[in-house]
Amino acid sequence: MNDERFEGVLEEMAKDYHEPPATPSDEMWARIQTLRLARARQKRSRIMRLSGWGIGIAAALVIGVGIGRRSATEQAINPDSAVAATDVPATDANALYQFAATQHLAQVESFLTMFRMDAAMGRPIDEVGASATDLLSTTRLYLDSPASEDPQLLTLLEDIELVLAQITQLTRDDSDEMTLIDESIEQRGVLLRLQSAVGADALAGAQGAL
Amino acid sequence: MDEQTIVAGVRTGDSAAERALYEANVDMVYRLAYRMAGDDDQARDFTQDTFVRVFERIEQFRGDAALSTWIRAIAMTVILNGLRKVKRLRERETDLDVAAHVGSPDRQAEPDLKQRLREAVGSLPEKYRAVFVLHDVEGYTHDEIGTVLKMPAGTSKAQLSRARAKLRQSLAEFAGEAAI
Repeated sequence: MNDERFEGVLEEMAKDYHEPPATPSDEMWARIQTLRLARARQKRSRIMRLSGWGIGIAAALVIGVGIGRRSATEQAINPDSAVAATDVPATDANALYQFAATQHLAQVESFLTMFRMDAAMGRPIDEVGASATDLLSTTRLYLDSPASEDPQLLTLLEDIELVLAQITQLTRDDSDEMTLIDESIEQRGVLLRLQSAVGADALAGAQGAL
Repeated sequence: MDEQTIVAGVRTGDSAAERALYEANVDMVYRLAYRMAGDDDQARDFTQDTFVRVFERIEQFRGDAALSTWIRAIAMTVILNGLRKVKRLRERETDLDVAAHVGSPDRQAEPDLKQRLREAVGSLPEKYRAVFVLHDVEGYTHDEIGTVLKMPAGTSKAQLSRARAKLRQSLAEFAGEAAI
């Protein structure tokens, strides 16, 4: 076969290569409206959920910091009471950190669950970066807090940090990277461990400690 | 309704403007999606996803290029990402199928040259196939393809040349010739 013959076959094939049928315009328009509505609802509920958890965490951290400051002040005013003043608030602060960390884990769990759903559905990941960055900052706070004294919680927080850091680096439409992150979540059993950590018992236990 | 009015309307959530934008571009997007996917369901999914993104990102349209060019670029991104995902799923399914059908190979009638070529186009790397479909099938220029696929026109030319070389090679193997 020579050049001319090749070009001829190519041209002939190109004419009807995957010849499209008539565009199903109305059907697709209806579906687009449904998709947009669903995404708007999903976005609204995500914002509400994240802000709700954010307020809870902020409140818990403020209380924790307050307890720490109070113990420091009492120690400065009355050095004799140093042992008693630091013992009790330290227990309170640890319990608070544990409680706030558990709430944080619940927030990460819902975020990662939605992320995996979006990845599976091939949805754009435009708004993911900002949420992941916020969660990553909070995770690092807990890594530096007394909450990380629990070895199990420390390992989980470190795995979460890694996954969230990967998500913050995700560029738009990078589906290969999304798949890798998804696999990383699966391989490390992050969601299962999160679910176990934020189970009703865990939350009740943390609340009981308060 | 002109392009500027449509864009301004879509930005304010005017449903008539949204519909006008859709009607003006849906054929082009669906056509591209179908040419690339060769499947109605996938073409619909890609088209719908494209317009959802277009409406979400209309604020990012700066008017440097025509609106249709901007939409076409979004469409090609959606299509190429979607096809990659489909390919990965099919590869997993194929692994299972191969395991299930070991020892019972399916022998089909030998396809003719045109059919062989069509199959060869289907197995081209996605970027090459995109350039081939856009240039040889849809008739876009290399400049237009460069804008849509975010690469220089020269790269588009080079990729088309490589795509054609692969197609030639595939036909040569089919015809059992040493060289075409």
